[in-house]
Amino acid sequence: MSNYINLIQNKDEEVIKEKKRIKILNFIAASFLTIIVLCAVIIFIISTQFSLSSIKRDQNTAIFGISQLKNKAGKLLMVNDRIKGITEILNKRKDYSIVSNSLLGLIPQGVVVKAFSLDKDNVKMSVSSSSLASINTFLNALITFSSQKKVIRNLVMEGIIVNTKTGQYVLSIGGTIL
Amino acid sequence: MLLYRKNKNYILPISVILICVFLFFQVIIPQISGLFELQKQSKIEQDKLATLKGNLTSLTNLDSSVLDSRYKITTAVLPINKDFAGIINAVSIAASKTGLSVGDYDFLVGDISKPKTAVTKFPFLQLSVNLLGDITSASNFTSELYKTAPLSEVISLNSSFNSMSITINFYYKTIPPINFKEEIPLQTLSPKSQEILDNISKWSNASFLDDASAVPASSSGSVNLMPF
Repeated sequence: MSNYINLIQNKDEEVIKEKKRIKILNFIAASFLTIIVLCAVIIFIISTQFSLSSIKRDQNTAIFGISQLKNKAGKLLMVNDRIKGITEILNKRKDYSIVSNSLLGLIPQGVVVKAFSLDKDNVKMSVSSSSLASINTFLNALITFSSQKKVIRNLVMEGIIVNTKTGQYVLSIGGTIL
Repeated sequence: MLLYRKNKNYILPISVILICVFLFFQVIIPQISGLFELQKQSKIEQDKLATLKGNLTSLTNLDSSVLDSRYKITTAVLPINKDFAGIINAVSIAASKTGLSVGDYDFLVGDISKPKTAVTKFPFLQLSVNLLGDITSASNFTSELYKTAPLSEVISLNSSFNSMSITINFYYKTIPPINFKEEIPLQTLSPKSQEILDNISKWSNASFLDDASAVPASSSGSVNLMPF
């Protein structure tokens, strides 16, 4: 029975296995170490690429340059602010000359403007003529103009007066400015 | 002791592996995330630098005489305070161009501490003026006044025979506190603004400028142009 037992051979196998295990472990350890070192080096290289100190230096140089031109910058901002304000007012202000020119353009020959008034929303006008036909022409033109609703709306004829002494017809109208 | 002898060859590699694992999780991973943060920060700083350089280039290339001219025009059109002289000039110019005779003036200054505002937030000075002339001339006067500095708006117009009374608001705008920050991009004139500037530079009386409206110089980090 004892002839079949070979202890020496088994021991060698065990040693070889252990050596192999140690070898693998050493390899893994070396690999881990290499990876860690490589990662550290790569991180270091990349972080130098993103160095903020050089950017900050350039920024300070630019800020210094701008500070020398501060008055210019202030003036530029002022100009921009003025233009913004001017644009706002120009966009919102009403141009009454359009209203008056449009209405005056409708007046036919022989009709005279006696009074004309404009305010924020309303326009009033009194015209006189010795000819009722001219007054009628003007009135028709006004009605057509008002129906277009481009400049005025709600045209109201406030009255027509006849002065028997002078033979003048006076027409008073009012409207709402659009 | 026996255990140590038996396993001593394993101690070094296992220790190295454990230390590496520890370093990876405790040092490398935080460093990588820090790297992203650094990249982000770097991008922000790069953008800021680009803005600063852009501002510097814009200001360097900006012709001082052109800027002065623009400043004078815009300040004449929208004055920084109640510009009585400019207003009287404007009315006179518009009246003379349209053949009207200027009568009495009446400035409605109102509460000095609380200026009246209209259109938007702009304070104004109201002027009632009597003019001699027909309604057509009055209409032309309004058109002419709208092309004359300072900026105005006709509020009411009453005409009877050959005399008329016109109420006009003349706008002004006090200097707002302008805090110039180098890292905020300076706006150059947009094409629309340039068009408006070109348009108003053709206005009558646009070259008129009170010397008192010159921009004060500032040596501090931020420009404060608020004189009041």
